[in-house]
Amino acid sequence: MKIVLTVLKKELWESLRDPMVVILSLGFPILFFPLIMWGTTQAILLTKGVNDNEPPRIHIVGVQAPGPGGIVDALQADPAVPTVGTDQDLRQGDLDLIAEVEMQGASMRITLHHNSTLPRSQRAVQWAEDQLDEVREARERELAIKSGLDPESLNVWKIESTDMALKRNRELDILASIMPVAMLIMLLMSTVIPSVDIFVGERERGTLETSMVTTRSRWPLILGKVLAASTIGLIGVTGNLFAGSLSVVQTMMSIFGNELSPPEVSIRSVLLSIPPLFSCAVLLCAATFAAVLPSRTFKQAQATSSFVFIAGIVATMSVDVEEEMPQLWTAALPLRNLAHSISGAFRGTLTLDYAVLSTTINLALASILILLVQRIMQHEGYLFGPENSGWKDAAMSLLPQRWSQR
Amino acid sequence: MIKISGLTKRFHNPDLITAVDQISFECKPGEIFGLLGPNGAGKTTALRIISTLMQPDEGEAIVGGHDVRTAPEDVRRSIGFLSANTGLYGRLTAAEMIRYFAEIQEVEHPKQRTDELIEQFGIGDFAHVRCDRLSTGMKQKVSIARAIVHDPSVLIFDEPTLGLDVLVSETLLQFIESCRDAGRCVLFSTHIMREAERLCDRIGIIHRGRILAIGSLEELRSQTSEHYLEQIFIHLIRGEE
Repeated sequence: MKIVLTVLKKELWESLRDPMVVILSLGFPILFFPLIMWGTTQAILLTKGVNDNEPPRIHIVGVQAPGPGGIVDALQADPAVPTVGTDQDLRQGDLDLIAEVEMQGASMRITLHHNSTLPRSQRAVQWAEDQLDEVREARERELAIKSGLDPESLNVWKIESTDMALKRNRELDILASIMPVAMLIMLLMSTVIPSVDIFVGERERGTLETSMVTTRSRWPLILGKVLAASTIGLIGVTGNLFAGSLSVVQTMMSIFGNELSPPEVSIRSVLLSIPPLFSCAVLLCAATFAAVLPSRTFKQAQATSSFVFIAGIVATMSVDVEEEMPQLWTAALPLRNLAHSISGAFRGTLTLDYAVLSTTINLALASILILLVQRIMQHEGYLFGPENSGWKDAAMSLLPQRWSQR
Repeated sequence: MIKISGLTKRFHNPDLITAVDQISFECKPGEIFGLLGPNGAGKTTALRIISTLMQPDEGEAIVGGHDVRTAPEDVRRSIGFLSANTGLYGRLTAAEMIRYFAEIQEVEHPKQRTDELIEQFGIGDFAHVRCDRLSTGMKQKVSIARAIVHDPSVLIFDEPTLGLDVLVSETLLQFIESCRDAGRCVLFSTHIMREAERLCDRIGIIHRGRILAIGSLEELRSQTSEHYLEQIFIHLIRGEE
């Protein structure tokens, strides 16, 4: 254990003195959240501002005498705004809406043509529907009075919905939706680069041979390296967690103003999420080590690890297993269990059972991968391949019948 | 001491190549044994087997009383390995580098041992400079200190002067001589004849994985009727071809 700590300390010192590791694993991810959130806030505020200040531009076609004058008045928000345009204008964003009105017997059919790619056009649809509803209700009342009916008798029922969720839970729910994916990306960024440098970088620089001929057993060497990369990953993730949470809260406050209050996080849930987070970092480092074993250079290793992890994330996150299987079972899926743990930490729903199970599974898988790496590293083909016996021979050495050879 | 008998190593690359073919030799404490051969002769492969980085296909290698096959960890404890590649961690300082290896070799008082070696090799002036900022000569000093930090009884040098200038080479050769004087068993591979002539008590001439002749310089002279090692070497290789 003493040697593991020595290797861990040395790897940490070496990595933290590498500007590339510091910038890409720690600096960039911590700046990433505030920048993204600032950009999002500005975009939302800009869109909001534009829509609030400018009336919708609507072209009404097909109105015939005696004509529904009420409709024209209702949709003409500002007489000064041009209300003539074509489909082409709508596609180009020069017009927000075309309301096509046609008579169908005694009633009218109104079709609202809009452009779903433009926020302003989408808001115009909503605005037009609200306006037309008011006209319709006025007409219905008028007809009811003419027919000698009580206008209130037309309202058979009214529907109103009220959100009973606590305000703090609604805010945490937003964080719980955003943070898992963001944390996964950040964890990958923080762990993969140091893992590649600690492992392949050392072989490329020719120092791994020296280490392997020096350490009596190779276990402490590998374990120390895995723990060092995991520690760097966790430092990065911790920084991200704070930077990310503060950025999201700040963004929400900027957009919604005083409607929201700063969320109150359940300390117990947050503490419970630490073991799954740590075990996932260890698993990611072990997986990176295994993935980059055949790589001879740092660049090769970066390409390999990026491909493997993008494929892994897409495969894990794209399957919607939450609906298909009992929640506890998702603890068996690495990455997914981390996402679940983080979202559970924000929602206050993470249970001890789930945290223990996901941590155990992550560490068990990491152990298997570390065993694989250790077996391959012991083989000369790893260190000296492909010029000599090659990496494939090293992988072949994992077969049970050959285990006795070493 | 080192005792090698019938050591063989083959590679598939992609055809079967016998890199080391039934080589046998011994190196006793207080002796420098030189493996002399051209590039690709099998010197490095033999040294990698002896230092447990590779497994032999056939034969036996006993180092410090331990078999490289069955007790590689004990072998690693008793050897110091130095090659032309200094194998230093560029982002560690010279002192950190020596201390790190002292700790992973489980030296009893790593700090004290580090200080001793810094003093012994005159590293003090650059002990706290990062290794990637050191000159080649400074790096080689740190590398030597790293190799002997655990006071090994066997030292293995794989073409250690490759790429070094005359002054740095001279310092290194003097160090190798001092190891012999200290009673260490030194295995030294080179393709530079004058180094072998100067240092080695006994020389094994290796070519295409096979040892063509073994003996002291005098014994090799009498075997080949040639005077200079270069002539002896050419005589043996031509005889083989």
